[in-house]
Amino acid sequence: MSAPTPARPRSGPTAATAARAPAIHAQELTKRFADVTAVDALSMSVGRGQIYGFLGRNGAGKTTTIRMLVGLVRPTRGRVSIFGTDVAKHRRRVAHDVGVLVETATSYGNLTVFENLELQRRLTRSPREALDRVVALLDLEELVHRRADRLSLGNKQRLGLARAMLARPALLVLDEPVNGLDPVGIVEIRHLLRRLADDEGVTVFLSSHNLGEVAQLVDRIGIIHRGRLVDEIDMSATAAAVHLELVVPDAAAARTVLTSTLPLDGVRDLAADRLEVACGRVAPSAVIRTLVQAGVEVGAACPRDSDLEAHFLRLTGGEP
Amino acid sequence: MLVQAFLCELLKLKRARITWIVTAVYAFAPLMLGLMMTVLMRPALGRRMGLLTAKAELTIGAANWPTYLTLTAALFAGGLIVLAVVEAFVFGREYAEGTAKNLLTLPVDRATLVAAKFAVSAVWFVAMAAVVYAVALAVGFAIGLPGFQGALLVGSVRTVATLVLQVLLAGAAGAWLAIVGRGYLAPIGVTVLLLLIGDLFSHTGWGPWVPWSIVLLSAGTAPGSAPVGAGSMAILVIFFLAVAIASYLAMDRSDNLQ
Repeated sequence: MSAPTPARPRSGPTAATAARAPAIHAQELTKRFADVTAVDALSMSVGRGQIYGFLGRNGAGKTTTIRMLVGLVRPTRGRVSIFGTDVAKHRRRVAHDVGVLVETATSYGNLTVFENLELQRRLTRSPREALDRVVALLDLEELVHRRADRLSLGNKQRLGLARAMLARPALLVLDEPVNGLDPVGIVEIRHLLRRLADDEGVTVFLSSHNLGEVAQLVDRIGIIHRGRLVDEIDMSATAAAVHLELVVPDAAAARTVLTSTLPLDGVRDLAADRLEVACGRVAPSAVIRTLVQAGVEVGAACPRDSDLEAHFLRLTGGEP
Repeated sequence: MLVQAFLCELLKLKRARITWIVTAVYAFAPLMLGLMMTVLMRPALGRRMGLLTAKAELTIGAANWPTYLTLTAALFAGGLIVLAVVEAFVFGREYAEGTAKNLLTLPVDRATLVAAKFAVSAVWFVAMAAVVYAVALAVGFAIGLPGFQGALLVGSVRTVATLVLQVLLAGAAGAWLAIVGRGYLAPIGVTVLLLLIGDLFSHTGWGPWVPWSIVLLSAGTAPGSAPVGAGSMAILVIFFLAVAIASYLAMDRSDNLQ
């Protein structure tokens, strides 16, 4: 994949009138379908240039929220503004700044990749170079003349991402963006989104039910459960909190050594020969060194995301 | 932006097999009419084929250009169903194939999108009507129908042009049905039902007031058929405008959950 080029300068009334507004600001967003409340008084704010991971189990209300953010679904109550502009009142103006991929990527199967992107280019009034750029960014060069209905699931997803990125939007709203991609593709997309955010200042709002996938990419996580935003986590705060899983001959003896020597956040036995250490401010290397110096043989040491995972499971009703 | 949206709608038809299938099926109708005329002109051929020539003669009339062109006009009243298929594809496809969510998040006014789709449906239907009429004329000449006159052709072209316009106005309901029904089935199924209702009303005094009956009356397929008056045309125009606005509102205001 090629590196992204500098961002198109944003212009027009949105930029002029709402220069300091957050990329996304939702207030008391609620959606009811008959007697089912899909989204319940959800309020959130996503800063410019941030990658925000919207996490929740299947059916938690992620897609309905995303549809409300981009004007596909009308909120029963509450409001959303994108870069300070109300979505319900100025949908078309907002759409200039937003690239969208909602759920499964869909395209016109009888048209080629190029023709599908050409439709997007014409309707967003983007220059021809914009099309060439996304073809290169998403590694679609060899597929441009292939009919969309003959693409693999992963390449259909790439086409959907290319369409979302074509008009160089300042905000990307992506619902399960790596669906169907192989592991290499997932890493490539992750790097691409990171580069877009870091180099071009693009704000990325992405939903997922996969904690591991989101944790490696985002700056902030919002957890939605049964339509409610139950927590928001700043990833820079959790990044330092490394958890180590250690394999030792005697977990209880090792725990005694560690708790009496280091100011750790916590140590718990996972098995007779296995324990988990919440390092807190202590470097993982210091934990291992302390054990070795105390004569405890360390068979293996693996970093884990257990804290975030356990937290997510606790909030969403799973078993940690 | 309307021009761009229109060109994009045209591009969406590229390589779509449905355009050729619908046109081919529609163009098959004048071939069948030609066969009927041939049987009427050559009774011996009809008997060999097991067809009841005398009964056909009673039902259809004489084998000549005036009869043939009257029957050809009736094919365009049936265009209501063909237009429903066209609109089912142009409008309903976006929902059936899940591309509506892409379309509706574009920075394009939804009224423009609806207008472009109506325009493409009209262009497609008019092009098909032209093909069908050309095939009908070619078949008429090929089987050697008697009684051709230039004035007859001018009158026929005028009737067909009026019918095509009426079908475009009355058939707009298919677009709304495709949006509300979120796919292909509703516009085609309900249009067949509406045509039956139109036929029912055309047998009563209400015919000139009911959009689908107006088309059948103009085509000469209903009892007491005659060129419809300006009042009926006004009804069709008002009906079309109401349906176009309803289509826009259905696309703009309803939640897109597909």
